[in-house]
Amino acid sequence: MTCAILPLAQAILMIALSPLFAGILKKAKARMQHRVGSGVFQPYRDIAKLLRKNETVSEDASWLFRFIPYVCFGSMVLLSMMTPFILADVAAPYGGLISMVYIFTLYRFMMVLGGLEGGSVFGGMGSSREMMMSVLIEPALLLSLMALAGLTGGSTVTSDIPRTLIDMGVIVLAPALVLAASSFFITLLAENARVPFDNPSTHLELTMVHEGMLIEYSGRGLGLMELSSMMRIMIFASMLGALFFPWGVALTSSPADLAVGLAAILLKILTITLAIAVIESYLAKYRLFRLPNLLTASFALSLLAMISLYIL
Amino acid sequence: MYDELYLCLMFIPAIFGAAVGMVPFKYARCASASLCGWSALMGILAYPLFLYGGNISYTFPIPSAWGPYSVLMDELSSIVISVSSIVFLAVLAHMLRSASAPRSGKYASLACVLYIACVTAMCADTVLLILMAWETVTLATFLMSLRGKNGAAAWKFFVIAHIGGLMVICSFLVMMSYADGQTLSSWSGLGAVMGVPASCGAIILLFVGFGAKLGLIPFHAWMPDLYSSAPTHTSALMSTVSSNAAVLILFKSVFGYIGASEEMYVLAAVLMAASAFTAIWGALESLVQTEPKRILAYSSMENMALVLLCFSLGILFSNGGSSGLITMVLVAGLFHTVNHSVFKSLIMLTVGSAEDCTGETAIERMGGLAKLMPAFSIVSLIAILSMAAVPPFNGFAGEWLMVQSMMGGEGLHMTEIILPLGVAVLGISGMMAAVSYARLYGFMFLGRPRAKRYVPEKVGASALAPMVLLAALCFAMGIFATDIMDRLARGVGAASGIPSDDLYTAHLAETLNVPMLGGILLAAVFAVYGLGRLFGKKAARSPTWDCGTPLNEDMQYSSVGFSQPLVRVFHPLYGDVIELSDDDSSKDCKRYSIRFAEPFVERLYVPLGNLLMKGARYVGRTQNGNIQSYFGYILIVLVALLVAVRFA
Repeated sequence: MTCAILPLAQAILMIALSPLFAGILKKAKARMQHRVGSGVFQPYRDIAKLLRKNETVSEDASWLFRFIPYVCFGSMVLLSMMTPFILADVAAPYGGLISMVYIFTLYRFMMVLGGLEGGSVFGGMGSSREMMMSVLIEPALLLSLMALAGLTGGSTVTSDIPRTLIDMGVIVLAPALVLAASSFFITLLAENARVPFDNPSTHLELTMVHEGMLIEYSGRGLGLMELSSMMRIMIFASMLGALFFPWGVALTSSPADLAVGLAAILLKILTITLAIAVIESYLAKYRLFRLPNLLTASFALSLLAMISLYIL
Repeated sequence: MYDELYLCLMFIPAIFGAAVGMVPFKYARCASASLCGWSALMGILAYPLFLYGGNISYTFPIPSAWGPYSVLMDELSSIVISVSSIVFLAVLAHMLRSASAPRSGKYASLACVLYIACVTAMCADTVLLILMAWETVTLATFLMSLRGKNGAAAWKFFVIAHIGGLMVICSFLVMMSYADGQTLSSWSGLGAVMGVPASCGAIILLFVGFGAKLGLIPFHAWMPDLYSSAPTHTSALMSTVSSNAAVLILFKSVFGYIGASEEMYVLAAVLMAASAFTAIWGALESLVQTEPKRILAYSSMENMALVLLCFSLGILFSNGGSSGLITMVLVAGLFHTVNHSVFKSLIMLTVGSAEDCTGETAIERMGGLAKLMPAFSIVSLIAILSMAAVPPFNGFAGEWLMVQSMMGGEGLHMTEIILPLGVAVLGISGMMAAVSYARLYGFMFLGRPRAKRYVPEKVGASALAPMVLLAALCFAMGIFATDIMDRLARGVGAASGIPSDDLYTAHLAETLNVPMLGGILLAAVFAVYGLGRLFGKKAARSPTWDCGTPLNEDMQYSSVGFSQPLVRVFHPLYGDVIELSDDDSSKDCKRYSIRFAEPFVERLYVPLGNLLMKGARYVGRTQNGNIQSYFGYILIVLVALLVAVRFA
């Protein structure tokens, strides 16, 4: 029974925390641009407002459109049960790293179909661009996870990886880990529609990707989609924090370890959030057809990680 | 003991069906299809019967020049036969209810022949029978695909399939020359007798020979044309049941009869490169196709290339890999094959029904079917999700095992750089295929209707039943994936003599838990959905946001535009635009359609054809109809013969 309750508790914790980090990200960006910005709890208020409001659906949309936000949210709940967060053993072993990649695909696939619903031109454009990026992201993502699995001797079980890496000691700080982690960070930016891949704060039709796909949603559907995308960045950040740099992740469930684990993961996610804020403040969005270069760099980094794993 | 009875119950109705279909009477088609359906129903029992009584074998008491005809259903064959029979049954049931299927009894009769041939090819145990069955599969599919004006496409298939068939025959003859006897089940470990060069030659012939049928580059040229012009049910059967037969014979020949050995790593690398290239090519080309069936043709090619990739990895892993690892990668290939046959037949039937309903074959003229036919669109969504390898459906389980086995092979000698590239190929081709499926579904089912009038009545509820069966199978095979993998692993062990390794299967069972994965996913989705329904009000309806301009059916994103960013990223790989046609049918709007040249056709087949024609004309010059010159030829031949005899 514990094997289902603990992951569920973790998922609820991650759902509860994800708007906070979205708020911190917005606040940090605002401060860097010499604005006051809205409070860090603003996303909670936004989501609560959206969830209370009634939906308006396009006349041309089918049954699928109303179903998509639930599937997207459900897949994020599932993923937040599978990634290590505070305690390594909590991560539910339902298929390891590879399944996580495919569940991200489910999320993206449904969102793309949602963009094509209703025959909206903006949605179609967003879907089309999202698909272009995902084709280039997928191999880099798989390879960086493969490098991680290679470091731990071929294990793809998420709950084993932190323990193995910590047991390996300082030797694990091989080039392979650093290269794989940098590749994964680029993937994180691309997957979560951050600058330079996409501008999350724009509704200008020529630049939008992620927002384009969400343009037809409203009310509860929009709230769930926004919450899912906040959770997605949280899940990516905790994968980077707890799988690639697992120090601090609790290995036993003693209270002291748990406290350290919670502090460590929050600190890591905060660092990643601030890093994203810095990048978003200092970079402009790239032109769409410059993005393949960046994604190819990510692919090359992860391939180098694989090669260095064997050579060094 | 009951083997004869079972085989009689399976084969004889279909043979009768083939005969009945040829008789011209009113119910010929129905009678023939029902008899074939009975045979398929019996075929489904192959695996349960295997579980009950072990191998099913029988030898016909008819002598032939090459030994007796005998069949043997071992674990692997019976699994494949069972799944193929379910698929066959569903396609047959849909055919009876479909508006666009050929109405003649002869078509049903050919379906009977195809069923007999496929099952025989899967379980044949003598050389002659397997070759005869394989040839019959080709002939039956060729005849079934002839319709109206598609002669060119069908003949292209006929020629290429026979080049492949020739290679298969050569390879079996090479193997037979080393073996003592014609019974295939006694051939195991032939590679040790044949030596490495001969076995490599035989394996190459087998890969290319069956590859011609499965769409290995450059033999894929027939696929898109034939799939798009043949009747839906022919394409459905061709891409599923006969592909299953090809993969199964290929597997049994390479790993069962010849057996991979350590020295074949160069061969394995070459085969991997060929299949990886085919996979990426198939996925790339499927992005720019404008007809759903052409998209599916390229997707078949991509899926089958992934299977071939697994098999070549199996050869590669023989060089130092543990037996568990080899089994795992082979199981991945076979599991993906049977999965592919289920979801591909489902999507073929879907596309066929959508074409009936809209009366269009271009994806650009469809759209909005989901609102019109909700049940139909749910079933199709399951097929699409399964093809896009999304959990918890069966396509996901197959691809998961592929990636898992590639990652499991890390650290093996010789594979350091090959395996990451293999994973990258899987990632990029899988995702590109997913894009083309999203495009297929999005532009067929979503958006505003683009065609003028739809006739949803043409897809009746009774045509939906077999599709629901297949969709349920997609789901069930995903949920019970680990169990099916175990069974396939046992079958692989029995067929190839690779000792099975419990370590990997136990490891698999604890790594992949699809029931939990799917259960939590569905529970989360429906819990939130239920909460939403409980506390929410009814959604309001309003037009799509249009910036103030009322939108008509042409003012939405087009399928060509959808894949344009990817086309631009990969533009050096696409051929030239060969057709940019301007449709003048109406005055107030212009329609442009675009078609890309398939570079292999333009750069390989057309020049080859020209060269052959040139050569033929050159040779033709000698045939000038002048009696003197013929006497001259005879004189030259006589002199040459005399010289040869003198000096030999």
